[in-house]
Amino acid sequence: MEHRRPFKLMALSLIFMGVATLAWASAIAAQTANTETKPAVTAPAASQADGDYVGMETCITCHEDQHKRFKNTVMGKIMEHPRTDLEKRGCEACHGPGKAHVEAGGGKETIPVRFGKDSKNSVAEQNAACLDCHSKGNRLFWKGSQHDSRAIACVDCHQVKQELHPALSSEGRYSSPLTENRGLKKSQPELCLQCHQMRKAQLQRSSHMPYREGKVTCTSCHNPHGSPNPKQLLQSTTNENCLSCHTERRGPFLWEHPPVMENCANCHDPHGTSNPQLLKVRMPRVCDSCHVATRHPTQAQPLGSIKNFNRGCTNCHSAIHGSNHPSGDKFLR
Amino acid sequence: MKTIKQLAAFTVFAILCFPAGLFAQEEKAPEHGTIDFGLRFAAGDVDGRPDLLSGQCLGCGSPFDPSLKTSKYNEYRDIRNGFFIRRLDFKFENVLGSKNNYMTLQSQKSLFKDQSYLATYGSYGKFKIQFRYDEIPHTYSNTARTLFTETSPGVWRFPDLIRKTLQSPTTSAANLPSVINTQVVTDFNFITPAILRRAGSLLFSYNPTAEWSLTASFWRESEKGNRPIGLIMNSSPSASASSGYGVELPEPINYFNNRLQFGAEYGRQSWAFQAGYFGSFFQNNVGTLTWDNPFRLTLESAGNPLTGRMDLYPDNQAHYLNFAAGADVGKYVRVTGSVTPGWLRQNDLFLPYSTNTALLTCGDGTQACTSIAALPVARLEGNKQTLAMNFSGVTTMWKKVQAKASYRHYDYNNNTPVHSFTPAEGDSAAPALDPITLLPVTTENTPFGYNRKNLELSGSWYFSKRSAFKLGYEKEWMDRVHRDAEHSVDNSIFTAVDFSPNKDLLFRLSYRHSDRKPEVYLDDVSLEISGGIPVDSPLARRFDQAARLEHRADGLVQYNFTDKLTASAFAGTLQDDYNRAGESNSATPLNFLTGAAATTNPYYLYGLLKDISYNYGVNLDYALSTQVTLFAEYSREQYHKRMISRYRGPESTTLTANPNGCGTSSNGLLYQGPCDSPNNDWESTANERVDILAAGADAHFGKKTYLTAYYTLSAAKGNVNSAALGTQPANFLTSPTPVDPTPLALADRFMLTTTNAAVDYPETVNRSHEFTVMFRYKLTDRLTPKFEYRYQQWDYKDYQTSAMTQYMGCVATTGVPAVLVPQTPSVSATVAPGCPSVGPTAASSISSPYYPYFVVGDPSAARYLFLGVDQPSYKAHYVSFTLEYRF
Repeated sequence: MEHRRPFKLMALSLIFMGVATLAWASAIAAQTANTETKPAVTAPAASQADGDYVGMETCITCHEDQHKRFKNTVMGKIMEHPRTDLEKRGCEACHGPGKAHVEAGGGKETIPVRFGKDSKNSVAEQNAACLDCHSKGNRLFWKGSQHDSRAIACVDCHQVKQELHPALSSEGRYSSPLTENRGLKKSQPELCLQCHQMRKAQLQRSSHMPYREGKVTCTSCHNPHGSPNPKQLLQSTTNENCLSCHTERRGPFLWEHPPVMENCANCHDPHGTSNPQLLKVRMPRVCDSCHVATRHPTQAQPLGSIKNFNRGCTNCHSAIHGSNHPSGDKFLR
Repeated sequence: MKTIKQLAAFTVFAILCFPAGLFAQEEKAPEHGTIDFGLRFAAGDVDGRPDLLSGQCLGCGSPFDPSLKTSKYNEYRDIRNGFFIRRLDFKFENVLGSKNNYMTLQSQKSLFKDQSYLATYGSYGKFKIQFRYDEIPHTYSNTARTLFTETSPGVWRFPDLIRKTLQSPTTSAANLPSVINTQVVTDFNFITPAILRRAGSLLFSYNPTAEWSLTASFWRESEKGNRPIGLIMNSSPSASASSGYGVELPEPINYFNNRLQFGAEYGRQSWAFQAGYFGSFFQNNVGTLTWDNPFRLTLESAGNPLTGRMDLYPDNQAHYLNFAAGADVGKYVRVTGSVTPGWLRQNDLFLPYSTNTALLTCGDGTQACTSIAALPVARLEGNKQTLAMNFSGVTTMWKKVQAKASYRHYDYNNNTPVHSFTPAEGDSAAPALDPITLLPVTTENTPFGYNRKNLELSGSWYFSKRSAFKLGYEKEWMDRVHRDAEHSVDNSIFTAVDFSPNKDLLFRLSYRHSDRKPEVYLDDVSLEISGGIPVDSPLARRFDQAARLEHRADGLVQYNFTDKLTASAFAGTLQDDYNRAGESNSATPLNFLTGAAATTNPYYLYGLLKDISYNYGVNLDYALSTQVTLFAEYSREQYHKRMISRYRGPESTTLTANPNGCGTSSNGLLYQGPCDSPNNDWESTANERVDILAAGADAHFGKKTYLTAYYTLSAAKGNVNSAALGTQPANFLTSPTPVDPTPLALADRFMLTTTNAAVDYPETVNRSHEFTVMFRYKLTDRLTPKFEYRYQQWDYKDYQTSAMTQYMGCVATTGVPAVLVPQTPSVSATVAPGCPSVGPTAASSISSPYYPYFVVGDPSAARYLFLGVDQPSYKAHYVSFTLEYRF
């Protein structure tokens, strides 16, 4: 591994990205001349001529109830004071132009874009309607992400016009940190656990982070909308993710334990275990599985051994995450 | 009295709310939010430690108070009796005269140590100012006791009088356990190791236009309290009656974490660019932990330090920049990229090598180990640079097909300088001298770094609505510095099918196969010979670098049978196989035994061989009527790990008349010869089974009455079993001298006996039961009383902690039996004089009543004082009555 080459790569990459972005911006500006461009997967809504739009007032004449609910949502509030041409379209910004629907006197089949399981639109078409506005922020890496590539629709998790009414048992069983996001179909972690059902079991383990207590939740570490990082993590690596809270273990230390610095998940399972300290295997075996040196690391250790009970190996090697003590080469200090 | 006051306050508050609710139902004014408040009571027993009776005062120390408050029940919570505000949720629109402005305030568990607040003021689509405050408690134990007192932050003192007693020549190895048990432990005071995290953050975001977003935030967290830490005062990791000391102490935690974040984003419908900065600053306000040696008050010498000192985590900081962009290139292609460089710094002052004034051979060999001058440098100047770069392109050029190519580069570049040190282990041992130069043997730090590159090619075919077939390939190149496998390659193929034939049925299946191969596996330490054998076993393979074959499969089926019945089932497995013949592992089995014993379970490396897990489960929801829904869930997880190790011992330089090593010593029979024979291989398996069960019902009657009742169970059992893989001749003599008769050669002498025996550990059990009934009645549109009852039971039995007391050295030094894990009452360890005998017979003992016939205690812990950390079982009843008021 060369120490300097990556930073040359980084500089070249940044220059490339900058030039590409500028070039692309210029091209877009020239092409669109203040008009909205089409998304990569074009929703029917955007493929229609402007004359096909009937305006929100027309929609409200029949759909007053939906409008009442919608106008109290964040999207509804923003569309009261639209900033873009798309936002000015109100209902038709998401559902597409309503002319055909109006002329037919209503009917679900004449709505260009509908959402949910009974929609005729593909998942890509439905998502494209959302991404018309929501392609920035933490959705930047949505395209090609884990959930996108497995045909997950935005509306599988989100809802716009409904209030969240969890079952009473859900209130009792799940707890999540305070959030402003009121557009989810269920609160976290219950929402994620619908598909990731194995995690539901893991969160019940005796050794766990405070998920059940509503202090940490799935999106504390993961971005379900896609990230360029492994496991859709918010940070670049597993360790950067863990060390964003457990900063004391970040180092650099004088004496480092390489598997610790490389991946916390070598020894710990963050989703919960039955062993102390979220360990995948309890001590001393978690250490024994790597350390086949001489003397005590290779003794099988009877039950009544100081290297077994209580804190196991860390009864003595307590600085196992790294030591900055000049005498800490064996992680005793 | 306090409860009465709280009850009165609650009643007054309720009375005030009640008419408001009644009148409010006449006219539906806009609602601004809800407040959910009331009274709660929790009662129960901590019953997992019958040896620690409530109110028990063993001497003059504080009595044991098995309170739920400090038990596992409150591990991350703060449930106390009385008035509480469960939830608050205010929202005001059109504030400060603007039609688009809003203000929200939310809270959970207000006024308690697990409270959270979130306040936001903003204008929709324009700006947002947000304040968040959060507290997280973490209680580690309610059985800890110590006689240490913290005289100043990080300085723990032990009573001089007791130190003098324990140092006294009359307190010999033989009666040390008796003195400690009868005169020392009885005075220990109960403490509660716990920490509290308190974090506040301020965020500002501003959208000057629909395209621009600017954000800035600052987050500060205080983490205070203490948590248990084990400390040794010895060169080798044990304390014993003859050498070395150990203590377990509450490690002082007094941290500040600060985060600073800025970001800007410009985005249009088809492209966006992000740039940001993230800084994280860790500050430890108690940088060292100093403690008295309880067994020594005077006459400090090498091997007998009066104090010990630990360097706690040093201050550090990390800075990251982030640049990310995404753009649609033409109609069908989207490219994204991100570049995130990072800088990690740490530059705390070093402590001297030791506090032991008797150690005088540090640095150049003549310097006091207590002197800073003996160090090569005063600070580390720790310096790491990271770089994460990701580039991907996704195309939807073909209808219903998406193709993706991505490349990832992550560099963990450690530029920390390398220096030579002369460590004084455990404040006890002077640095070893080189026999030729007579200068101290030095040890260099080895800054570890790595580089990982990933290339992924994948495609998804959306063959029908809500259905996709995905196929992909990934290659990973890993390069490391200062590790055994410097270069390795991991090839993976993966596939997934998501199929929804109709709106009621959904299948999700995925499979991944990976094959990781190190180019060369070379542990440098295995090339060093010490005591006649390599320091590390040449065929030991660390699982995070070793050759590995991985299979991962997951499946999920969701089906709505009818409008009334919904079911889902899932299953998954993850299987890592490291036990592969050839290439970086041995080409032939390493088993000592031949024939069936070897061929049924051959192994080609030492270390982890297999890591296998399975999980499966089913969920059911059934609408009994329009009012009543039943639900049931069951899942099981199973984990299995198998590892191989070898008991290895170098030639001993200690003169012994009865050699009990394997090989021939360099001095005939006077020294213990080196031991490195496959006949001393042993295996260990770790098995865990976890069953999760939940069943209950949700009911509503009319639009006013809601009721739920459910039961959940999480039950886990774990076994760690070990066994020797070699053999011991039937006529092997253990006493007075281990003798291996022919045909086994001396080099293959079987050593896995007595304290080296590979034996099974007793089963660990933890079960969490919860039964809950909740009742909610909508009195008016605005007022909803709620009643909640929970019964929680936590059953816990773990040989590592359930047996813990403050002193574990009650097994007599001379009384260790030949087999240390007896399964019958007839075999047990000998009790040290003065120790309580709680075993099956008066002449022998076990250290814990929870594991009859197992010995949990160690003569090597004869001079180690523990805290006795445990989280015992409990039973708790929780009742709350709350009012939810919407206003």
